[in-house]
Amino acid sequence: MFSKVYSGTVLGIEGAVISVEADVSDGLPIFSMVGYLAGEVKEAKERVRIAMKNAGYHMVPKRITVNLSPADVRKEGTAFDLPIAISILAALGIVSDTSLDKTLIIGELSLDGSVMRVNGVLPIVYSARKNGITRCIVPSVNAVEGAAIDGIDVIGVNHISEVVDYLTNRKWIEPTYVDMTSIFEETNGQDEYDFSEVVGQGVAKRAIEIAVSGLHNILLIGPPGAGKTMLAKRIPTIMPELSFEESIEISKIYSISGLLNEDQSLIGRRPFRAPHHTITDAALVGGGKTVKPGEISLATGGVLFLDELPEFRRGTLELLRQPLEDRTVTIARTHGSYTYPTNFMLVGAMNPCPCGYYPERNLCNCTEHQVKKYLSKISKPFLDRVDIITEANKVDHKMLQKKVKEESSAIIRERVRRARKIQYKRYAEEKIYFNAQLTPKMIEKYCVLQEEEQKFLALMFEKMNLSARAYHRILKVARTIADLDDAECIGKKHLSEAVCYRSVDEKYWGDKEWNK
Amino acid sequence: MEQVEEMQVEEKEPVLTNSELWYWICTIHGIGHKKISELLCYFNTVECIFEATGNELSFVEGISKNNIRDIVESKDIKRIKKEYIEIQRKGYQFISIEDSRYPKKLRTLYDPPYGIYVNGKLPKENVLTIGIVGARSCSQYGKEVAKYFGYHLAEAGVQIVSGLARGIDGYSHEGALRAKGYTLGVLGSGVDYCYPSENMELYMKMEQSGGIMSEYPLGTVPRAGNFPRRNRLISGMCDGLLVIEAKLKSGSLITVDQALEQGRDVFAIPGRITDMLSSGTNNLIKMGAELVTTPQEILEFYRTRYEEKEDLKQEKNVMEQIANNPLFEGTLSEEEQLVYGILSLDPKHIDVIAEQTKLSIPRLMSILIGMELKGYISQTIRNYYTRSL
Repeated sequence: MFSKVYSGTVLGIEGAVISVEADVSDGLPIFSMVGYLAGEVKEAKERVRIAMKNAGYHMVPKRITVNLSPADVRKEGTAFDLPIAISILAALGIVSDTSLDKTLIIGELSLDGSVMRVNGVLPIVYSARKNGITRCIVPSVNAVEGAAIDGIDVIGVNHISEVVDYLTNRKWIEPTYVDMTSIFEETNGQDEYDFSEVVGQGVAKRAIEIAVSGLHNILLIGPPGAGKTMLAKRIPTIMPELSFEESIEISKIYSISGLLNEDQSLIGRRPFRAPHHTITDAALVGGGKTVKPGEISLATGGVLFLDELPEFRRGTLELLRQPLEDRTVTIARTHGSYTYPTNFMLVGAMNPCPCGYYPERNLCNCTEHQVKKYLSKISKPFLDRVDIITEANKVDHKMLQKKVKEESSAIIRERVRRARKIQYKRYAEEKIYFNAQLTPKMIEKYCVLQEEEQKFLALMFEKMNLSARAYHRILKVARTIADLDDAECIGKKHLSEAVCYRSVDEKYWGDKEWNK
Repeated sequence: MEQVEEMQVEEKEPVLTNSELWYWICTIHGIGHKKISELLCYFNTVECIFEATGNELSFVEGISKNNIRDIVESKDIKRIKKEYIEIQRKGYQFISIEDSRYPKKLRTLYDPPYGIYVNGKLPKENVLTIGIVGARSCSQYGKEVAKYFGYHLAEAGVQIVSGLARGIDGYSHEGALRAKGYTLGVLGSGVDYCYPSENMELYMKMEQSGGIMSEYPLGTVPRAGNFPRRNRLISGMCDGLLVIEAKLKSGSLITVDQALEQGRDVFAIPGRITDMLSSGTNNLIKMGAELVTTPQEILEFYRTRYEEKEDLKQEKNVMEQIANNPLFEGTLSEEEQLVYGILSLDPKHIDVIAEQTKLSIPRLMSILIGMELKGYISQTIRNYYTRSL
């Protein structure tokens, strides 16, 4: 007899519905599985057979064939154990075919028949709903995760016999329900960190505010103990709260990476990923034998913080160039290519010289040559993708003792939200959302300067020996500063502030010193 | 018949000029300054040395068998001629001690080099020449002061001599070049070898409008041992030596010792007693070096010796200039004055300026940029500002 059950797998970040077909017919007793299966799916055969036996369902000595279709999609992961078992039970007539209508089943089986946790439930449930499926049977530990998608029933199960009881109407399992609004309310305003904890660092804070408003990438330079990491950790707290769509998008990545907790249905906070500088290429951008998203994808919607930037291998950093530009990364393999979003804000931190104290000459013994060599570990093309560079100052203890009331994250976040709103409105007809994404052509359209400002910019370029590369970045940053200021046109003060976040690059990264 | 022909060829063999002979002796492997002195002491002239046989050479004190072999083997007239022409073809000059172009100041040294290589021009003999030396890893203060003194001295017509090294050396050359003055770099390597390489641009500018000099043959790499000898030429080429920043143990102090031995005047720029980089110069002042705070003071010092420079521009006192100048010219707004008043030659971070002036960061940034454009202040590295001299 023939039967069919729906299951799902993950392709890149999207889920895909897979149908699991089983047929039991006369012939030599054999259990065979076909359909472009990865090693762990082939092993399902043994797990299913023994789990069924231990759960009390005897595998009849007949010819059992299981097919996973579409047959040209490579099936990976352990989520097929349960659907294979159910499809065989349906083929044997233990479960009725009609009960499996519009039902998707995923789950790994242990030898005693209990259903184990799998990865990627969220994207699978999400695509199941799109494909018209109304009910998903998932491991109970994954139920909360799947329940984030509304308009589809998510049934959490613990054992194969429970599934059979449920499908044969001997047992009723309540669909898992998660109160989405409460999740977002809970996470909002409950950040571990707050900007009010950072004393001083006015310039760095201002630079960060601008960077977040226009989604510009930022590089913080400063001596050890200046608070670069402290500042960076607080950047997600001034980003506007996640929308539901964003949250789903981010949670999908965490779901396929197996990083969602049991009681966590969605990622409610903006991610902050801070990989160590020894990270491998594959771990950063994604890859591996069974392709997984890398840190840059896990940082989507949030911050990717690279501390001690010059310590990263140069090749590893160069890998970021394309994802920074395209906002996605595509990993190609012979059996298919995977595309993950990389919509993160890059925050780099580094010391100004090997010892970290330049230009404090009483502490720093590095020669100018050493300083230049240290900085040159970061390539120009990489720097071209960083719009704002700022130098954090060492905070002296007197400042720490002063009881100054610093601005809280909430106040800054409000300003950021306003600036972002202006950008959304302005770019409604474009394919971009933020000033940082402006192309040279769009800059001409949206960053128009009045005559006076044009003269002023020309003067700055001449006097400060700025390179042509700096031109577009200065305009983009000036646009964001003007947005923060709620100004229609970019003014002189916006331009001069923007230049402050750029101006001495040639000195730092180059040999223009003598040209002045 | 054949023999006669050979004789004729030998007669046609060209004779080395005096300069070429000096070039020969200065480039023999293993023969340094001291051995040339010994040879001259014995043979009196360089021609006699060239004509001396191996046997005769062996009577000279300190000349080993290997040296004799090297001397005899190097007497390849064609090669010497070719090399000598090659030097000129490359645009360099070889000037021997017997040459009329040889700097008179060097002749007064205890151990003048027998030959020097020059790229560009040598300084004029009767114009005040000041050497500027100091630390390679100098502070912002040292950098600004070096540029300032280099610029203003050169503008007043003084020739600046230094070592084309990193730090103070480079900045004083840079200052002099900016004033379109003459500046000479004395190298510890061959004149065709720019060390350190980051000074390449400076080297090329000095080649054009100044000069580069060395006593080492072309292609010599900069060995640490060359530099103390190089330093004696820096002090030797100048009338007075200005030390801008030096630690207690510094190569610049070797130059000072040599300057004193050569009878040159020593000037020093004072610094704060807590600054490591000024400990050497402060010490010099304690020991009797002339303390200077303005380029004018150096000019004043030599006024009697170089009368023709009386039309020198009157320079304002640096301190006066730093402390007051733009503030009272009425060109700065109130806020700008407030910011300017807080700045000094020590780099200050924007956060510190904001803290002291109580101005908002965006406002402060446009003030700073505005003043930078006017040239009153400069951003030394990102977010750190100093006054400009």
